[in-house]
Amino acid sequence: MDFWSEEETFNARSLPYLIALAGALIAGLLLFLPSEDPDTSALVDYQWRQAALLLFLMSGYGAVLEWLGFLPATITFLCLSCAVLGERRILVILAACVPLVIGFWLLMDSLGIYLDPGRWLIWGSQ
Amino acid sequence: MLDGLLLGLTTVMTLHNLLLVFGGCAAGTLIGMLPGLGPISAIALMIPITYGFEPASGMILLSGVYYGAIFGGSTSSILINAPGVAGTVATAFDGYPLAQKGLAGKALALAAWSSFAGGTLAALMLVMAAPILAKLSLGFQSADYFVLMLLGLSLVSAFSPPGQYLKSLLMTCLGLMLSTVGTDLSAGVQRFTFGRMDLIDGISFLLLAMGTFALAEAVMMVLKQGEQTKPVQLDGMDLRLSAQELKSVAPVITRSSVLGFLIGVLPGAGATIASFLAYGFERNLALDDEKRQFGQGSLKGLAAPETANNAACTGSFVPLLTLGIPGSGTTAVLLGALIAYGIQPGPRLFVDEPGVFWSVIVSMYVGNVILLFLNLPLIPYIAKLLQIPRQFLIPSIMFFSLMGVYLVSFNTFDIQMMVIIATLAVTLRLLEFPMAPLLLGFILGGMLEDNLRRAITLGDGEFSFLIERPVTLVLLGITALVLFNPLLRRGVTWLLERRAGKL
Amino acid sequence: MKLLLAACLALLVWVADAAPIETQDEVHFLIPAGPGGGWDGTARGMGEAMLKSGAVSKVSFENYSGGGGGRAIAKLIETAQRQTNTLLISSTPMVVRSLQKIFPQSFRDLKPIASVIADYSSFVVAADSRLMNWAQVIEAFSQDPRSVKVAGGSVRGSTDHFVFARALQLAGMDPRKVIYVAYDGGGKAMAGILTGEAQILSTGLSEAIDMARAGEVRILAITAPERISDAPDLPVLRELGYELTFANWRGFFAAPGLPEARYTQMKATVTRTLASDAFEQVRARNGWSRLHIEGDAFYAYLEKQEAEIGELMRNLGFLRN
Repeated sequence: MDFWSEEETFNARSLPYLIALAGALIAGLLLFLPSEDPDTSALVDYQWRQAALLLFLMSGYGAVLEWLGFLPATITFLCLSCAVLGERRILVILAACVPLVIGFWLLMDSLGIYLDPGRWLIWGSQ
Repeated sequence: MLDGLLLGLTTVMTLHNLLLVFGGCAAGTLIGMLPGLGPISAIALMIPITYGFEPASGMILLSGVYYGAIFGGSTSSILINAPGVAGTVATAFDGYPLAQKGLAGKALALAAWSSFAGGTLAALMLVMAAPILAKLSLGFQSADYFVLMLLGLSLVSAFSPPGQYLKSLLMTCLGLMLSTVGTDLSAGVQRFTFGRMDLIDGISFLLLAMGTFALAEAVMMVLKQGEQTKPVQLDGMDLRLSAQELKSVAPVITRSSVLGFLIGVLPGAGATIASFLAYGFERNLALDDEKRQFGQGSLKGLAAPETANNAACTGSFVPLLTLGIPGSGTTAVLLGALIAYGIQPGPRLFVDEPGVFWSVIVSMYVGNVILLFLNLPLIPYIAKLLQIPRQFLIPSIMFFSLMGVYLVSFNTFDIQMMVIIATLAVTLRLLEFPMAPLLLGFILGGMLEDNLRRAITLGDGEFSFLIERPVTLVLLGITALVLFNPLLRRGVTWLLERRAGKL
Repeated sequence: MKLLLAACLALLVWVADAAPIETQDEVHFLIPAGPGGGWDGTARGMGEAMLKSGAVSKVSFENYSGGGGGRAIAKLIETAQRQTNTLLISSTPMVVRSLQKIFPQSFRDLKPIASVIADYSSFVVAADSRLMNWAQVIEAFSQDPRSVKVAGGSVRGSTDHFVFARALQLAGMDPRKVIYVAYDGGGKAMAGILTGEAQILSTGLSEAIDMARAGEVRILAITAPERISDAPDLPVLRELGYELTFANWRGFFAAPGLPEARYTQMKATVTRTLASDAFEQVRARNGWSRLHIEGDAFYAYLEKQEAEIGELMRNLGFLRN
């Protein structure tokens, strides 16, 4: 911090400290005051595996998006997500996902928004 | 003033300009519905098209895009819980639950009518009082903005489900904490960035909203598959509101228009803050049984933010046109366009370029009418989106949410951050922590701190700025009133009962 | 499954075809900020002039914000090999942020092509302010530094702040006594002096000149080397006896390791565009001042500015080394 901050009554450190203090107080109250526990009986029936797979897919999409380029990465991502959610007819999946992605891409292109073509194309051309 | 309106009417009512209003509104609506493209990008991308036009025509097109984008943003908020623009985040609080109950058609129609009413009433106020309001906006100093943000925070109870006040407070704290990530505006120091360049600019509000609402909801839908396998049933597509419903939302719309407009006039606030404040106030004013509906699909809870954000957009034209000061990113871009046309907004715009001034105002009315007639007939078709089978709907929601954030920053780090936020949000939701207070704390937190620090620096390190000026005191008074409202109410009921007992 | 594979393959081939082919006459602008700001406006204006003047047949724009502009620089360096058509827009804050170590790179890691325009700093007061000229500002400051609080649209320690502090230092004042109030953008800082909470505004001339023409504010001094033709009535600090000139340049950079032929061509393209009527139109529309420094001379200019700003910032205590 610079010398102005050291002189200030309320500097960049003050608010984070205050919030942390308030947060700790409220959290303490929450812990010690009697309260009803949320109903957890339904949790057993939840589709944990599917949800985790989808989260994993999204993260993976983020990881490969700039390497594969927008179109291949997005189409793969959408198709796999549909498959995770139980759709088994490959043609139906492709018919649903490919036009959506290409349409979106064309729209962005016409608006002049630049989508990186992906890095693997460059390896190919060198 | 009548001459002015007539002048504006004759300018706007040419075929060319009417087509521009129509085109602008249509493009804006589409862009607003799509994630990632907010009004700022939409307008910035449209400006080159307008260089060949008359200044009045150019402004007509650009302002059409602006209202259209805010108008369209509510659609994705209501249908899939994914706000297309920041101003419509609060619309999702009650709009989405309504759609889940099968009332998507009604919710979209109410949103359209609220936007229309908010925009039109605000345009009326703009005509009547623009010069006075410009002075008012200059009466607002950093200390007042700080207290206004405090007032916003005091409304937190309105964003919490009944009986979960402590949890709501904790989530507000979390929101405030998240708002401190990034470069601190006053001192320029980096906080909580962990040395990562991606965090220097902080977390974007839209990212947080998309992660906690749209993505978390999509994951919840997957988790709860066992409970509900059918897509949402649509209730015969009834767009009409009953007379009783109309009677209950009409005062909400009127109040929210005024509130939204006034907040919009202030260069330091904006449509998002306006929508949150309107939501909070209406919930506080509502009767007890109506209060319980807020957050569960209340018509009032949908009408208030939707009216306020449109009114605020119109309000933001006051400092832009009469002072030349942009209050938001969007109006800054509009200011750039005006200057590029060779027009200097300011106190003399009225006198020097009455044609531009009045045609922008008239185009607001025309634009609002067009938006209404453009959108109402489309609602039944748009609402059918919800009948897409879930194995396709959920991936699309995920794709649109991720793109909505990625297309702003082009940073895949943001995608990872959203996934983490969504995971945390789902965990918190399962533990019955509400998400709306988190967003409230986040949106107010940044401005709260900046304005407080500014006020302290300007006040030479003292806190006396809190009691020095009447505006600050009035706002502090309202804050106190809101905080002690439950107590007051109880007092009044008690008094009334005692009286009734005596009689 | 075979079908799926075939479809994917077909798609890949199609995508590869659709990817932009790098032709000689294409320029891709890399903008380190979102649409609608100063960098964006300059790049899009330049692109428009390039197209209209026929210097380039295709332009594209990529907004890549984050890290105070550092992300775009990092991207340009990382993907340098395929960025032979790319021009990154930047300006003086890049020099400042490198010095502050907000990002590790500096202009040395890129290939400077040319600066195209400049914006001078200006010191502005509200129309009804009691401060009538720069001498009165110094007088008021010497009596009570708290009576002259300065507003700016960027964080403490940025150009708006240190240019003002330097101007006061040249008048024999203690620059550390300057009370700088940071606002979120130039528009809100302007509102800060109009509401009367701050007394003087330090900002780019282009952000203030239109308000001054409308009679809402008065410009007391600017940091141009001499009076400028667009507004000859504005006093410059040098003629008031303070040797302070400061220009916030905006210019273009190419990827490091750019082939020599390409580098020469890029410079020629920029020069040709700047000489065109189309650019003159864009310039006049936006009220920009020209500052064309090319190639090696631009590099030398940047080195000089970096040394000057670095000394200034250490001197004022903004940098601790």
